[in-house]
Amino acid sequence: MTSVNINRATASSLDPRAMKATSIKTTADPSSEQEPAALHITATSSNPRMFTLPWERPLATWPRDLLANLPRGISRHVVRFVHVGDDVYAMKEITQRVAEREYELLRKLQKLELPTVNPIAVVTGRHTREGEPLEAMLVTQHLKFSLPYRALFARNLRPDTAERLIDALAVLLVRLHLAGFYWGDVSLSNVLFLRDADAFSAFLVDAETGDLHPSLTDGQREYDIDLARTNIIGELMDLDSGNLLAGEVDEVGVGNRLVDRYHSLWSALTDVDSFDPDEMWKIERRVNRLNDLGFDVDELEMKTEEGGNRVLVRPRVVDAGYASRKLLRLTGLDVQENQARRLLNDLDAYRASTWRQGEDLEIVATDWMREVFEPTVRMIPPEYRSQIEPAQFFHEVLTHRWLMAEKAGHDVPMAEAVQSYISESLPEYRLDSEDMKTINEEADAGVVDDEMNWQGGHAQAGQGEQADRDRTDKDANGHEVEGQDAADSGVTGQTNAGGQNGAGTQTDRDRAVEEVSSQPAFEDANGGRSSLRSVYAPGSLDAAADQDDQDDAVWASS
Amino acid sequence: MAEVVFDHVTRIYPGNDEPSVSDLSLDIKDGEFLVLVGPSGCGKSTTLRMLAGLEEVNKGRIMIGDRDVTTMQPKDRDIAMVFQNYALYPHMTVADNMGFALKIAGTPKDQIRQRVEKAAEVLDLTEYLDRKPKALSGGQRQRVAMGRAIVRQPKVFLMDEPLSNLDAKLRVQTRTQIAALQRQLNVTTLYVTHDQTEALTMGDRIAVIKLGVLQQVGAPTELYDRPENVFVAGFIGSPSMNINIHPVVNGQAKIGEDTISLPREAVDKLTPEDQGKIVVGFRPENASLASPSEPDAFSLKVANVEDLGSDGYIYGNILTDNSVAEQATVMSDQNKLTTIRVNPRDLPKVGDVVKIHIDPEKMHLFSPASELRLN
Repeated sequence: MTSVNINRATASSLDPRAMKATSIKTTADPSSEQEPAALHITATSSNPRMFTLPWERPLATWPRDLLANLPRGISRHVVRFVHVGDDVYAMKEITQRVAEREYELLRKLQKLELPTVNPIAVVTGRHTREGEPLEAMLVTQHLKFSLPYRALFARNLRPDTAERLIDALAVLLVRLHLAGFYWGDVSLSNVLFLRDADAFSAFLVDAETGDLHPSLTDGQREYDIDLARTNIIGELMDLDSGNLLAGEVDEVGVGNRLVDRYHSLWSALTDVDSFDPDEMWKIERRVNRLNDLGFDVDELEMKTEEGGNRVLVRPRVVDAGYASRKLLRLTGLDVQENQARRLLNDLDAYRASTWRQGEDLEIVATDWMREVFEPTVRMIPPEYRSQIEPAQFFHEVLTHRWLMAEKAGHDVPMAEAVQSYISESLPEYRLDSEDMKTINEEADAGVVDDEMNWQGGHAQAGQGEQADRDRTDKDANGHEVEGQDAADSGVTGQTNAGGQNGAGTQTDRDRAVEEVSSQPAFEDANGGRSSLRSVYAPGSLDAAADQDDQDDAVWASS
Repeated sequence: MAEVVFDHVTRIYPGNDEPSVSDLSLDIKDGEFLVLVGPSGCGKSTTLRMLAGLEEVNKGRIMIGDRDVTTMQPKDRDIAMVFQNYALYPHMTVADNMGFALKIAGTPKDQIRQRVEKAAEVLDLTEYLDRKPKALSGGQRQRVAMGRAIVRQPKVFLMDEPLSNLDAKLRVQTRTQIAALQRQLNVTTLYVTHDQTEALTMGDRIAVIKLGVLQQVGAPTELYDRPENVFVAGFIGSPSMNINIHPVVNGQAKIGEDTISLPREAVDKLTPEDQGKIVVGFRPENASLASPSEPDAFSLKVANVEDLGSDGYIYGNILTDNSVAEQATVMSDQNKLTTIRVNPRDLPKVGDVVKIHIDPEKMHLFSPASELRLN
């Protein structure tokens, strides 16, 4: 069996779609570019409100009422989310050359249907009212429901969160490389993660150092991979420094995982199997290999060589983990696969029982969360809140209800089932959790400081203090530290903002419980480490987005 | 630290017929700061990326020290690309921000601290080592990013237009810092820029490249004082050199009705391909106002004047047969006007016709056919 690389073999010039992507054509020679004397906007949007924005002011001083309080990633530049009519745009203040270049690149990548943020405009020729020139601005569409990795880490205790992000990043990197995009600055910071049917999907948000080529050299790919590894490890080390990372995460291991995943995926995706028509069983072997990598095969592209003597096969793959990703997208609940399946089934039952099959599942899911899921898990007695994951609790209540119904011969109301479960079954957790505590404490002996800092009262208090300091610094220090402020304050922000929709009240109580709890986490039925906060925070974030303008103290973005 | 050698290196992009870099031979000495400068598309970034391992080398080889790195992966080359938009990590101290890559590489703690402290010293960050990035100013943060490259102690620094994404204020400040820093650290550095001012102010030596072909390598003053061809003459220096083609009559350059003496050995080098013409170049500061009767001077019709206080500039058109010479200028960035620097107290009026004398010692003569230097 021979392997050839389709991409490298066929691509010798840029994709025509990319060639015609935009009227902005930057050259490598900045001296040939003249900063326009008057405001100049090149936009893909015809939103007339673009012209009403205060372009004559430095972005950092834009009025608060224009800004959307959403979590931002680390950036070297001033970045803000701005309401423009019904849209939210991300604005980045950079030099004209970089702005135009990045706009042009993002346009090309969009034309190539790659997962990147959508460029909206490049704004040049900005001046203050006094005539002082201001830097150019790159405007992109805010990717709805997306989150920077720091916001995810602030709210996810699933121990494989880092790994799942890395897997998403590996997929993104491979896709970009296949299209001939050399990134030059791969990192978690330069990516946004979206909860969708594919769990975490990674989107490129920063193309400043990138270049689009007909195809990439091995050196370019390897450089990107090596840089990605270093940056990821650095980013995780940083989270660790901020006690935002569960103690058991091995930063270097996670960084290495990207390298491994990338290479496996690249090979799986680009190696073309070539075999005789009577060796079709080799397709199955190929598919199995992809399954081993955690991917489902969506399509197989097969063609015969001229003469028909050899069959060439190239697979197209999608991520595995369908149920947990679907629930994640619908409800923001980040749970195990089996829990997700259970919750989705209940969601379907709810939809059917309320005669809402014709409605958007997203809308039904919101109601299900409010009417079914949240009222149920809110009934977890405080003393158990640090011990049973809400999704697990919900799952067990459903099982309990089913058993009760079977015994009674008729349906049992949820509230009744919950009470029964709490009094009859939940106490079993006490013993279990004590045992678990001992086991965990022994197991975590080597990393106990990290674990305690992360879960214990110190960390919570520390985060709060950090956010307070950030706010103070921001007021005193202006825009320079704001990119970090957002990331920091997002940590507490999501939790606090959740208070706006009810779930946050719960979360606040959870936190209070966690602060006095010495139990960091426990092994759930599926063997994964879990925590209460993982359930509530995602919904809280959405609430934060909705509430953003009233919630400045929490998000502290301006 | 190490010497870098490009040995007859050629890069042809797939699908292209013309090489982007053609038969480049260039040595960067151990500890030297070499600036590769040229206009858009000249191959300078391609050259840097070949050294970085990002571009394949189609012909020739690249050496770092005594190692042939031509086919080596980027991470194995012991180079550092400075300013690849390093992010600063908010929870980490300045020291950790600078040293974490060493930690990943498994460098012993005391050695990391030692290297970080040394880097902080040259970057003037010592007192901030235990602070978090948010306590720093923009310039200090920029230096922390530099520190991340420095602590690795690579054999070679690579910098590709590192100032292009900085705002104007930070750009000048950082330019000075990079140059000073490189001299302190003494690490072999290849710096790529389109900006000849950056090249002149920063480089130990400058390599000028055009259309993939190396034009000249030398110290800034060498390139400024003795450009080897018309391109280098026009590219290096601001305001740029006045360069015009003139007929040679009786061994003298005919400029309008005037003649300028030319050195014999230069005229002797002209060939039939030059068709009896010569390229005369002179820098604005190497000419002066002359009296109307003075020999070896030409007439210039003043189109504009500038009084900068310390200097005055005359911009004008060379007169040919009492009419403005239409196609005399080969290369000049002053809207094809001839530029003369004079004492601002002696500035003529716009519309005047003045006589200009070129310092014969500072005249640059080139063959119109080969564009190579004659004197």
